[in-house]
Amino acid sequence: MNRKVTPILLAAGLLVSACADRLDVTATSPDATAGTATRSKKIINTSEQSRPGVLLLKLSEIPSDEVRAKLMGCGLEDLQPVFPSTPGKEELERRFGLDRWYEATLSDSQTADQTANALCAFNEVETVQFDEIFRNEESEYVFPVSEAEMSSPAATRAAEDLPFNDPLLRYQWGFINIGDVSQAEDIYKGADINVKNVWKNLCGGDPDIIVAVVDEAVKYNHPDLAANMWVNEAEKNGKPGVDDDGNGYVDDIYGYNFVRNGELHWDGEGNTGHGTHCAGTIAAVNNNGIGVCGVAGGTGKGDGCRIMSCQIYDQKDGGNARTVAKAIKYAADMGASIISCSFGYTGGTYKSDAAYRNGNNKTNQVEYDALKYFEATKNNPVVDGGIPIFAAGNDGDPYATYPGALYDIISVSAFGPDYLPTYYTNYGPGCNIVAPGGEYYHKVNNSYPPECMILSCYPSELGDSWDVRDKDYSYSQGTSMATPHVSGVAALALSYAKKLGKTFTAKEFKELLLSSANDFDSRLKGEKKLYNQTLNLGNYRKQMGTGSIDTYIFMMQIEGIPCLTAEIGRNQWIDVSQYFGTSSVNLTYLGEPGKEEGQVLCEVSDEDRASLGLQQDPYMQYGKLYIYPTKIGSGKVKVRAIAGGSIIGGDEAIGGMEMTQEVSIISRSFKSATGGWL
Amino acid sequence: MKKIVHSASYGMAFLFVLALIGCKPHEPAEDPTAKMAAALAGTWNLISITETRSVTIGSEAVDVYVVFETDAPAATRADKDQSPSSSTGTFTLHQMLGTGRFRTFRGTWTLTSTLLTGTYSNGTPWGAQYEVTFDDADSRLTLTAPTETCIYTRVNALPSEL
Repeated sequence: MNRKVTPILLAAGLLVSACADRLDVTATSPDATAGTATRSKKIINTSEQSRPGVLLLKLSEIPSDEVRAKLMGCGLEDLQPVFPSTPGKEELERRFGLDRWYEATLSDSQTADQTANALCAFNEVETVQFDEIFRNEESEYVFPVSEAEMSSPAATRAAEDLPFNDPLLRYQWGFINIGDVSQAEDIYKGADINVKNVWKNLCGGDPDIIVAVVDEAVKYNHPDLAANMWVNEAEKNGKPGVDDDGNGYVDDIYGYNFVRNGELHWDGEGNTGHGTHCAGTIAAVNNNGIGVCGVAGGTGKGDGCRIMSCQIYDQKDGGNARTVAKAIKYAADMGASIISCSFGYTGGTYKSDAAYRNGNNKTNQVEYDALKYFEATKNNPVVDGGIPIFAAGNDGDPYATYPGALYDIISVSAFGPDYLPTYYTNYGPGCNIVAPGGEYYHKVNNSYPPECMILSCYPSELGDSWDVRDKDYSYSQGTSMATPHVSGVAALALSYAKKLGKTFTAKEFKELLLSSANDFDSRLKGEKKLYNQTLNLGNYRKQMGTGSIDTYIFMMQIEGIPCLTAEIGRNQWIDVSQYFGTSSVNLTYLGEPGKEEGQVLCEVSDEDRASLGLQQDPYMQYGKLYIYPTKIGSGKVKVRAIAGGSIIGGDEAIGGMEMTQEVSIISRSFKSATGGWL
Repeated sequence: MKKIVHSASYGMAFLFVLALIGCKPHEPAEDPTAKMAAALAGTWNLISITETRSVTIGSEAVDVYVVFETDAPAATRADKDQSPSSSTGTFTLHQMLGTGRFRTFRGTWTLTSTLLTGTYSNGTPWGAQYEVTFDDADSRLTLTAPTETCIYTRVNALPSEL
């Protein structure tokens, strides 16, 4: 017998025996009889791809000293609450069970599986979760900005009708795509988020809207980010080494490093600049004469949204469920309205909301509880809860990764400069909307320049392998890059809504976001050839959510229920694409079927039906609203559809989010084709 | 005889001078279309829609401002042998239907006699042609389509948000 093994086995046997003596269970408890051979239903995942030596426990209540001693007796080195309690948040923490999550550190001699089973024998233990690790969704390509681009004159700005003086804006095709073939020969003019006229005419951001970048650290003193960083004034003006605001974290001035439990750290081997790059897309400072633009970076008047850095990756460490959960709770407690999460579990780890969320014992993962806590936290005057935005994943899988795939979470896929799905993007169920993610390998004069990817901020310290050190900007690609586009759009929409004094539920806001999309399906025919890859574009039809995000349409929807005109005395179609997005033709509509195939009836109140003199219910067909008023009057028509799938997501399978869009119709004796009053 | 001839000559000359004095320089008749176009110029706010006699339709408010600008005055004379005179110009229409934000449309208009027609800048014609009438002070403009009559009041300026 192996002399090394015997003591371990004996010790394990003694350990189990010791735990059994301390069982506080009835003889009828199924878990009491489970023993160590049967996996308990309280264990909601596996130790695969998990942080070793740690278990996360959700207890039925705050443990007494006695219960704590019993649990420790199973061979734990330590047992500590996962979340520090935040003053004033106690009730919310209790509601979502965050106060009952504990991190158990195991002694070296124990295997996590064995201890997990042993702990399950206690009634006080509701859930045992292995501390599973998320991946960030960036590809391996990161390129610096060239010297030529850095010295590109801003004088071209006027010729290109660019709204801001940031010299690198002309390379950010994801914001304003003029079809510059020097960036990609197959570039598609207009393949962008349509933000230009929003910046020019409506809004650039609001400092009260905070976006938490849950990722690697954001370089808070980056020249093009510093002015838009969120600042914890109590910590900034307090004493170093002291938790000045009593939130459980020390010196969290611009955010916090949840991996090292300390200051933000963006350089060092293994760090990639991922967080800084995402932050730049969201809110790099606009119109400051340097660098790049951010979707919600302001207009040059200090009016940009703010970035909070919630570091969950540091070098090769982090990205585990506990770290992610703490970061999300921190974002909620410290004022974030949006969390931008360019990470997820490995694709296919979970295939339904039930598999991810409930485990086998109807309890939740720690990060799921934290997500619900964030969604229940109101941090701005516009919406009644936080808005999480997740990346769909980079595995080219026909489904989104979790947690983004949860039916009520927005998950973002990616398109390239050709306005086609990227070769890497996940698609299909759970993918709700698509945004610019960049894509390498688009040819220009037989070479492959990086301009086809997404340009944003970068920590210059990481340019070690380049001969272009001290460059503060880089190109990269991934659904990681698509996600901050949508996070920035959401932040801009919150800013505009605040400006107009509008309020929404979080559900309504997400519905408006998802219905603010343009057609992405009509070009998905044939094949896309890219370097050595061939994509069958038909596989992506109706698999890219509601379409490509359109910032301007979103702002129109923020303004209010669109009011359109119809002519009395005839059945007519009304083009709602300006308000629902041109993707409206491809949505799956919900409602009673109409008289003909393909028709789906819309909802109208009896009062409005009488006001319009409707002889039949209005219906959606071919993406258009059909209505037949016979009286001069007005009424509201409600349209229901699914965003991100042909079924509504839920416990059984990955699916889309149900959304409702409302349109007001004014009927007159005549109308102009433009919708103008005369 | 010589005296009579002289008198007649003087008389003829006198009559000729009188004729010259008595005949005013030829002036064109006042062009009613041009006059109406001049009255149309300005900023107007919708205050009444026939059916509702208010600025609501059903439960939705309708807020409309129209700015009419005239081109150089038409110089045609309304001689009976010529076609009716017309005036032209441009318009800017600001409208807010229901809630939200004003939307702006632009285009051109033509006034032929009392009939006002227009085209939006994208080439789409107005939904109707309108008979134009004013009150005595030219402070109220009534645009009458075959099935709808709208009344506008002259305002000095657009709302600050426009």
